[in-house]
Amino acid sequence: MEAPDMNTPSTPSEDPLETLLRKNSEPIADNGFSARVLAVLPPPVQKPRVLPNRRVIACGLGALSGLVWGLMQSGLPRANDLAAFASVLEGSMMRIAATLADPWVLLLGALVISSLVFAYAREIAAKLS
Amino acid sequence: MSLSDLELITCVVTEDDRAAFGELVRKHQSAVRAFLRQLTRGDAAWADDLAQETFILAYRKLRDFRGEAAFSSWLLGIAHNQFRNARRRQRETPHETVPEAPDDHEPSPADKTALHQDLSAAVARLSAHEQTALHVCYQQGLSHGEAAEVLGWPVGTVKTHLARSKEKLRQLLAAWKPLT
Repeated sequence: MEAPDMNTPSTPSEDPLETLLRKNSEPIADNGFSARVLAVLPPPVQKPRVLPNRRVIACGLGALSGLVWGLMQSGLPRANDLAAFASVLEGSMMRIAATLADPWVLLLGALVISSLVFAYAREIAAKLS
Repeated sequence: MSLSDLELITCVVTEDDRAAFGELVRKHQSAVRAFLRQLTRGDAAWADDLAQETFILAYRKLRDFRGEAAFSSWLLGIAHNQFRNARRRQRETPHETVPEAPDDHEPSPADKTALHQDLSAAVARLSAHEQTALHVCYQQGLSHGEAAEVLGWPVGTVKTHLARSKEKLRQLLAAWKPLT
């Protein structure tokens, strides 16, 4: 049998000892190992039974019933009341728009959105891929 | 056509595809079990228990796998942590002792040759850290950087253990030098 030289490499890039060390391993046969691992995996995670669109419907119904209740408390609106209400609503909307244009509010909104994106980055990436 | 590790991981993460995870286990069981057998000094039963725990933990943490390193390196890192935790638990409960160097592992066909027998005997005389460094770099084929990552050692320590172990092996296997 030809004995390899353990002390001096035949070429600088090929050390016989390193070659021998790389070859000195045989793959381990599975012999049911994978099946045993799969048998003890945690049970599948149950997805929530309430669908998102049902939640939206529930929220919408809640808001609608609140609106109806509010109208019933104040009596049904007449035409003049509606015109006055529209004017008040317009003023409120203008005030809200002015508030939203505040740079600090914009910065806060950007921070909130960034935080949400950071928190759900993996889910977003999974949806996009 | 076989899927890549990343494709299999995506199937597991997005669809909880257990068949895909089974494929990952089949692909990597040999490397993980061999690594753990090396760490446990040939205790095949203990190594397989740790390998099973490694794969279960990997399944639970698969969402955290970022793909920055190879999946095999990531698995070996988990296996190394499992081994260290188990050894720590055994130290805390002294009635359960770590076997020193059991010889109950199946002899590989490579052991049948005299050179491989001598090599195995020489490797067994190295320190545990030297054996581990040799195993991850030569039998698992990891780079020095990957080995350092898996073992939690500085790269310099990996290189030092490798150089020292190869020097010792050359001395122990000096008889194999051809007569000139």
